[in-house]
Amino acid sequence: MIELDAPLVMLGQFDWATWFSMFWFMVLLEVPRYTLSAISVFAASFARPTVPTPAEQRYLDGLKLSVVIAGHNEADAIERCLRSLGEQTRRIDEIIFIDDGSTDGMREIIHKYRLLGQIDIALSNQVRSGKSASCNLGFSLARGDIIINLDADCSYDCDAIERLIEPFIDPRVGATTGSIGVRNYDYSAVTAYQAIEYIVSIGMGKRALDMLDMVVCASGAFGAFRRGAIHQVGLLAPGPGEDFDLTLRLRRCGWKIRFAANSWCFTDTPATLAALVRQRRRWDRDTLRTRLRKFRDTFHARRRRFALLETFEQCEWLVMNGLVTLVFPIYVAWLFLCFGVGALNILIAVALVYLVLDAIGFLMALAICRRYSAAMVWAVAPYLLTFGLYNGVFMRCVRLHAYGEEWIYRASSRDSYSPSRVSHQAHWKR
Amino acid sequence: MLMGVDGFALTPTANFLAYPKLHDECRFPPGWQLVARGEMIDALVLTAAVPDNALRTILAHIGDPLVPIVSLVPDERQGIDAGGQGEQFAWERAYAIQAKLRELPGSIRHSAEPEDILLARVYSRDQGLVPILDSGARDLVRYPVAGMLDNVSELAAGLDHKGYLRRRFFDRLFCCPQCRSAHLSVREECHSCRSANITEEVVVHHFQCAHEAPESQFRSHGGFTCPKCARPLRHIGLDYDKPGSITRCLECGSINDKPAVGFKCIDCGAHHAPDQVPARTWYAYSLTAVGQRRVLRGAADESVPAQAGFDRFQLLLEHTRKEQREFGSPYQVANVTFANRSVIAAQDLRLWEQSQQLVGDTLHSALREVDAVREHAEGFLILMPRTGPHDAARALQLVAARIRGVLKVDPGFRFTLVDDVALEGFCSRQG
Repeated sequence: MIELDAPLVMLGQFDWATWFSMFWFMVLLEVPRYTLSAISVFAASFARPTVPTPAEQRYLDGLKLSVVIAGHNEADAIERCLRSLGEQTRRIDEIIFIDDGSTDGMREIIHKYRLLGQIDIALSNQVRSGKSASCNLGFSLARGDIIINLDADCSYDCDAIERLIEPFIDPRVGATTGSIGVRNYDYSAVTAYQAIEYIVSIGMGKRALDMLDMVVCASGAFGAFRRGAIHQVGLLAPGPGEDFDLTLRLRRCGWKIRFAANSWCFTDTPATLAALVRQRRRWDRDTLRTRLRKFRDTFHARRRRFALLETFEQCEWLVMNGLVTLVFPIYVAWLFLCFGVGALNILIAVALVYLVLDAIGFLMALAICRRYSAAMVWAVAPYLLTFGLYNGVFMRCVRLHAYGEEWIYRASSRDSYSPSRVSHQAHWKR
Repeated sequence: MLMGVDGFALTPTANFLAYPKLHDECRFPPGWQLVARGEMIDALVLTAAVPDNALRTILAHIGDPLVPIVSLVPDERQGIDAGGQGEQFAWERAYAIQAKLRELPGSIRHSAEPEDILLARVYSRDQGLVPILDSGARDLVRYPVAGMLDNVSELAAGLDHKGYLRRRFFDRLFCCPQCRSAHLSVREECHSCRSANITEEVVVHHFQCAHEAPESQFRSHGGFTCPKCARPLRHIGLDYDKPGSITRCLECGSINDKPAVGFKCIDCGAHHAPDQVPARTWYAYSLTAVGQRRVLRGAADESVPAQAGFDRFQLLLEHTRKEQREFGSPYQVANVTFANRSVIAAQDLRLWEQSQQLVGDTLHSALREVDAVREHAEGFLILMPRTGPHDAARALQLVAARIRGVLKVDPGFRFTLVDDVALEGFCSRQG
């Protein structure tokens, strides 16, 4: 039986050397990354927000916007999505809806809205082609200067589009992505954990990456692309992970990717543990495949378009994400090997430190975002107590599993995200 | 040469007028006598193809709307009782019609009332008022038996309402809401500019690079090449597939999944969306026993209730009034109107027609069996026997709620309870 105050007593008895020998994982790999970025983002949030000059505003007003939404069996979500697009403060010149072989009546619904004038182009694939192909059809027909790729099951703040396109004032910007919030935060513990995760990662993580010009994923659910840029890199590649892949290709071609922090989109996250694990396994597999297989030449110093920032970003991910995930079980095993049952005290001590860090990070993210309601904060705050376990242990195990199945079995190429006839040809036939 | 007309003989001599003229070698059956213009005739025999205006002139000159007109040459125009089926048939047909006409009393035979003429023609032609589809007619439908009468469908509907004719469904045709012509061109057109200059194009999906675009972007010299990755597309199902199609307007460049359907009136040139085009129902009519008695006696038969549709309401009203006089049972008559009628009809005429039909069905299902409903130009009259004003108002409020639940649009249901004086005035106006 472990005494409740034992970890704290133990922490108080250690000298610095012992501290480091036991908590090197946290001290070396996690605390610097997150605390430094958090502090810098927090400090930057006090700076005056930049407002477009009249000339810049005229330029933005002159841009033609096309919205492309592709979906499969999303009939129930269309109305809410269109309603939020109808409320936008920025004029949308064209809305293109692609029904990707749906069987739930989505085709009829988008045609109904086209007749009502809320959709400009409504197209249907008789058989499912996959998200990438459907979006590519919309991209190739879109006539706007900026093509905004959205998901049908998301809804948007009324100024989301206006804020999302602001970074395009800079002609070097090829794509932007906005903040994504959790709409169903109060549905279950799983959605509450994800709400905290999104708050921290959007409020702190993405802002930090934006400051370092290291945004590597313009989300397929909420991303805007300069038309010339995505045509230059050849639109979306076969999925899954097509948005991440496209963003990396844009970066390779020298385009900047910006994070429009004040542009907000809300979505429903997976509500059950099984659905969450499925989603995260897919994301992590795609990340590994794209980074270490498709873009492995980032590490080659002699490649034609070598960019130090890209290589640094890949290395940062490799160490802070890949390595941390791989080392974590070794660290735990090492603890138990060295300290026996006393390792539990160390882990509990680590969890306590994480709890403090999580709470600080959460509060800082809330202060920076200023977007979440008090009701939401109160609803998800109790889950902060165990968020460390969710994020630091559970999700790390899921990630480890995903990396293993991708590295050994190339599981992403068999993902049901794309129809099998498509994924087989896309991933196996070269 | 008249072939095979020796098989029958006419007892009374019948006069006929041959137009333009009887050929020298042409023989006519015994019992028929050729007369000159201006004399009373029993049949008009056309011996050649006659222009419309000439036919109208000669008919105006004859002045008898019931006279049989037969043609010895093929002729299927309105008012021709026989044409193209052989000379023998033409003479027999003329005789049969004339024999039926002789049965009519003078008041009907020489009546100038369109209703009498129509009834007499239906009776004398002995084949009912059957419409046929005719591309030459403005309505695309005409009633050959009706001869040169105008507004035949309206006349027939009136006679049906009175119980002299019985209708059955023939067809339902769209007509132009502007000029009422049924000469409509139904066409596929662009959703944006309504041009019919559109083209359909298949969408191609290349599996390997996920490029999906209209087929024209993939076409290269004699085959398909992906415009994104430059790989050749050789094998459908393995390299690529064609998951859908798009419609492209060659006028405005607009793209959509399916073309829109539009109606263009060939007569007035107006263009209409499908939901703006009203449909008109056409009926075939047959003479009822009441109608036959009306034709043969020359006056309405008082012993038989002629106006079947109207009479049910009227009879119940009379009965209810009698009940009130004798037993003091109250009754209410409500006039139901729709405030939003004109707005809905202006936006979508077909929707209003469907809504009105639905209102009628709802009224019949919501009211008691003893209640009677009569449709009129502005709405409905509802007779509620043995009902006080408060109960009637409550019942009608329930009906209004039910109608609101059933209909897609709010018709603006209004009702007023009308007294006897107002009801009489109302019935006389509607009648």
